[in-house]
Amino acid sequence: MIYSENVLLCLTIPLVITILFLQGMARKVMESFVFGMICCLMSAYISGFAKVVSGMSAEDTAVYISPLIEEVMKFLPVLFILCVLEADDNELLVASIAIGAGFATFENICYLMSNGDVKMSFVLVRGLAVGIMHVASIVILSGTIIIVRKHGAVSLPALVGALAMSSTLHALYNLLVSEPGLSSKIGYGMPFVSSLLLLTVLRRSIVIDEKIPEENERYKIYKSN
Amino acid sequence: MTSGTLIPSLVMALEFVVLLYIFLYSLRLKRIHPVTRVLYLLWSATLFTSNLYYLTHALQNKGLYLPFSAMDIVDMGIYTLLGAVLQSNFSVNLKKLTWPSVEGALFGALNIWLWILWSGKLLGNLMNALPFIYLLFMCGRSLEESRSLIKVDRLSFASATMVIAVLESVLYFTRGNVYTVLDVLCYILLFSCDMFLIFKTVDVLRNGNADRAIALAATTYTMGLVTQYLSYEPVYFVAEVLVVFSLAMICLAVRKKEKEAEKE
Repeated sequence: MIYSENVLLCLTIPLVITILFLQGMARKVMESFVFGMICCLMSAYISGFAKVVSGMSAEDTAVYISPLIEEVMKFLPVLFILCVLEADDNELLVASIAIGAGFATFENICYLMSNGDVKMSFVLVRGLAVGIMHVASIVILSGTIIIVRKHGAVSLPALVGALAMSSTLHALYNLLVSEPGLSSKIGYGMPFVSSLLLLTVLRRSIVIDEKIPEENERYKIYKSN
Repeated sequence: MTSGTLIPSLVMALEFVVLLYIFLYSLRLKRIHPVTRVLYLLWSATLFTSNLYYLTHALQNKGLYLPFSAMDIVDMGIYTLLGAVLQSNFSVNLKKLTWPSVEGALFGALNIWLWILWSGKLLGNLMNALPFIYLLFMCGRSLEESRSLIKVDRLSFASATMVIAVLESVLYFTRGNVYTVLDVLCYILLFSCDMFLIFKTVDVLRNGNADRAIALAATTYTMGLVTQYLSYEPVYFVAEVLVVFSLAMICLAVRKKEKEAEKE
């Protein structure tokens, strides 16, 4: 058994000190990363509580309830950044990715510490599947919010819809990997494939929507050729 | 896959194909109002991914029904987004209360009460209460705004839905022959409402305007959900097929709207 709070303190104190030396986007990224780690610990607390209250097994809790709790916990700082800090699209996306990365990093560290000496395959699964999944789900969340905002349709239903999309991806991953065989193989590959797809979509939309006319023109000429 | 999961999996596979088409078509929409378009796109994407989840769950032989899970928040998203699509399309002012919208909201609240009663799932159904009431409120308002139903039809439909809600509540406390009779009566009423709405929607899709078709198709979908959630197997799957059919009608209604906008 490990004390996650100790791990969190040990990891975040140097990061918090680092934040004091940083400015601009680097500072925002670091702050969001730390928030992501804190969200992960909070999610673990709430999931543990939900397991006891619902009377479900640890596996059922991980498959059915944890995705909901973890996505809601990641959604809250994104909502804060969107509504209180009124971040622009780029800031929102970058902060979201950092929150997802912080969340995944802290979860991976705790898993590796609690499992002791593990096989390389386990390490790769933690890194390439679960780790990426947290980033992919939050990119879906913030990406949806950005798209909705561009169309002037930010509203409670749209936010709930964005949360629903990210929760489904997470829940689907957990469901797939809960069964051995082909199901888990598809599950492990899903975050990586969805990240590649998201990256393609984001790169394309960022290049097209960037407020630099000559870059846009260059891209359009490149595309037309 | 066992024989018990074969039929539901087939129905879900059919739903998957329909939803994939709806999602891909919604990506190509251009002439609908941007807010309506993006909300509709988001609704179709949420519905499509949630269907993918349910299909995977069924294929893994984990049973048809989920405990409290992430899918409850997905249902919230589906109800609120469809409500928001209707609100945006018909420019509905939430503060203005009219009889059809209040009747719709009341029917929604009674349904939530019935779902809690029958399923025993308190938290998930309470979470879905406001979104579902909002959706039915919007269905009522959109039917009214588009003048989709004449007065006699509206009154008959409203009375039938209220009778269903009352009968289903009574049904919970009855046993024996009375239960069987009431149960059959409820099914007859539920499916009569569904068929009435389906025929109306098909008629409007062929001869009416797009706004009427959207209002009726969305109401048919919602009524299909009500029928599905108030039914036992195997009637549950029949209702699910009706839901799939109503989804296709929503897509056709949106397509009609796009074509009307093109002509303008």
